[in-house]
Amino acid sequence: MTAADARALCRDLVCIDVDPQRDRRALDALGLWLTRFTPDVSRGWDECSDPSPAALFLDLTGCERYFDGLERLVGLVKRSMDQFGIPTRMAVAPTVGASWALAVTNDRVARIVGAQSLVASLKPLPIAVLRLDGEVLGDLRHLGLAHVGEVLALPREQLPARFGPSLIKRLDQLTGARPEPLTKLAYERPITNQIEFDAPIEDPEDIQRIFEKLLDQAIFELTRRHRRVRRLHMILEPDRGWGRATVRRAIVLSRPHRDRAVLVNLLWCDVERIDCEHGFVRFHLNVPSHEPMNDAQSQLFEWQKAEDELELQRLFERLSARLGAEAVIQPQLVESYLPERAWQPAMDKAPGPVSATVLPRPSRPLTLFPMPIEIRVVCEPSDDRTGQPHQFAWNGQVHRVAHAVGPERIANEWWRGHRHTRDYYDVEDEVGCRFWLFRVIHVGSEETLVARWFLHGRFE
Amino acid sequence: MRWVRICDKKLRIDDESAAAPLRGVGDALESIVARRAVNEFLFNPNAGGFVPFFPALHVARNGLAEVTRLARSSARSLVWVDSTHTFYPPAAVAMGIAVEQLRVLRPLREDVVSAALECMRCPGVGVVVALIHQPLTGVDVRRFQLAAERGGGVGLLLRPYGKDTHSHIHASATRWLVAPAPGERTVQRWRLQLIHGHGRQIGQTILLEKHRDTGQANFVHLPAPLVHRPPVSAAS
Repeated sequence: MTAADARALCRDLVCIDVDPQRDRRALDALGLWLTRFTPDVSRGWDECSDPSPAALFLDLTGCERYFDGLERLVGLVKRSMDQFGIPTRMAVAPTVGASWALAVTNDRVARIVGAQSLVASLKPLPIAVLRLDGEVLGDLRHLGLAHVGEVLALPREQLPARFGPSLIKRLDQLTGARPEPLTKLAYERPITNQIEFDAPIEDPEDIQRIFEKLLDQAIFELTRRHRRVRRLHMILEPDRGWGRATVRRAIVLSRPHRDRAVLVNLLWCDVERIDCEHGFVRFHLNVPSHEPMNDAQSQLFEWQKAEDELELQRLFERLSARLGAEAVIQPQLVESYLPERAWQPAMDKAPGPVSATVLPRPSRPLTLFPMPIEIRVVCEPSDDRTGQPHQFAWNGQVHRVAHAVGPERIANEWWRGHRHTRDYYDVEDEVGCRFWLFRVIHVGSEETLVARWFLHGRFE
Repeated sequence: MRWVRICDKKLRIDDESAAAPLRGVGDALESIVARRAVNEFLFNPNAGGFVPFFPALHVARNGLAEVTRLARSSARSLVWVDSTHTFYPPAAVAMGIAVEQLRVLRPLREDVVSAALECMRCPGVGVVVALIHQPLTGVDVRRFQLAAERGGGVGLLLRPYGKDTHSHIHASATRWLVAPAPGERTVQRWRLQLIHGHGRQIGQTILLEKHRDTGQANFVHLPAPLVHRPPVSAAS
């Protein structure tokens, strides 16, 4: 079904583009959260290409004694997922394949199957749970085999010759005759350092020294792990009695490193902007994002180029710390018909739909207002739904149009909820100032069409 | 080695102490802005909110290419200090500036001067364009000059002129008065008049033309005014 058909059936439909990378990151994050129940959490198999639901495997061996039994442990996991608002199907079985097969065919109630009743529980399941490709499944169905029990009843020695090696492999994995290794999600202890004082610290220089001490601890841990900083979080908690809010600052580095002098300078840029009048008693320095060391050989002949790039990165780190991360923008072009959506600030490690190959049209203004400004326009001929702008008023001044080019029709992105089409005009007044206007046709009262004009930018 | 003539004195273009004019801005022009120096575009703040962004970006683009060529290193960056939050990067990319070379700063108004100074001081930055609304002091303009000399790039300050703007205080290598000029249906024009510059003709006026459909922009000389000649007698 196309998005247009779906929207015709459901007017309030929200369309979200598929993003497998983001889904995987979210699943990994959920898996890491679940390590509170067991240290051994794995993501589902990667080679499974069919659109099977996302799966996480928790090895609960020996963990039930810490949670007063397996039923209570499963209940805690289920409740946690419900609190997150994530619909889940759960099953506990002695093998990976069996737990997945029971979970996908199960309803909302978690099912626990022991080793003795494993085969009996698997027999009534459909053959789709065997994780086979479509051709083998088709062959099995052609022979009238619909359930796992019927396949298990077939002579084992004939299966590879008739259906290939995958069927016997999956059956063995299902019953536990063949091991099925999974890759554990690696859990890394977060790098967090904190200091607490009895009395509030008010002097910015003292606060700076505290953060230098915390930074030294963080750098020691990073060195031990062979990692470099990508992002730092500073948290300053005031004494509870003052009723003041906790101060949080983020320092994002343009390149990962652990150069103490540079980091100390960035910390100072942030500390000097903090209001320290009432002081703080608890100080945290967290490293939520760090990357492995990647020692590349420095340039032998183009050392000046490397120096310039390093200076540039340091400059933008300093400016980000001083002005705020949102004030330093690396633009990124985005494929969109709408002028205001044709670019976005490049986010750290989260690239958007960049269009590096498509050049923007030259007829775009250098100044684009964040929001189009509604203006009054006199059109010629008098029918303002099709006429060209003759004069307009903006900012208390009347501009008589000397030249007008247009309309350039830009249809709005209806799949994002924008329905109005814009007719853009490039107009120049008698002085020589050039403006970018657009007209939108609305359905007014009594079903009449009304034109509204907006100023969107200036060619100056 | 390249030599240029400034104030009747030959200077090497790599001389750290000197502001060097940039070539290649237009075939008809010797130079328009100086490298390792601050250049100013002055505009009338009461002319319908006009700010000479396009002339500044056009000059910055050419200046960036020249600075990168002379530095013989990687492509340097163009930093646009956008205190009005209205700069539209796709239009700059359409003019031929690589998006990787472009950085936009959006500081608060009170931080514009310090942010622009810090960018000019950086050797990795080729050109800094900043709209400075607040009046500058003598210390400020001297800082801009020193920062540009240290960074080795081009500083382009867009400053309003008029009452209470302190626009007479400057330490710039060149100063241009910029105003919109009546154009044609698909051609937009700006008038640039040189009001300060060493080794140049003060009062010289040029036109910058931008063709809407192609995006091409070029400088053109204004035709010289006709010289008044006495009527030629019939006998001669």
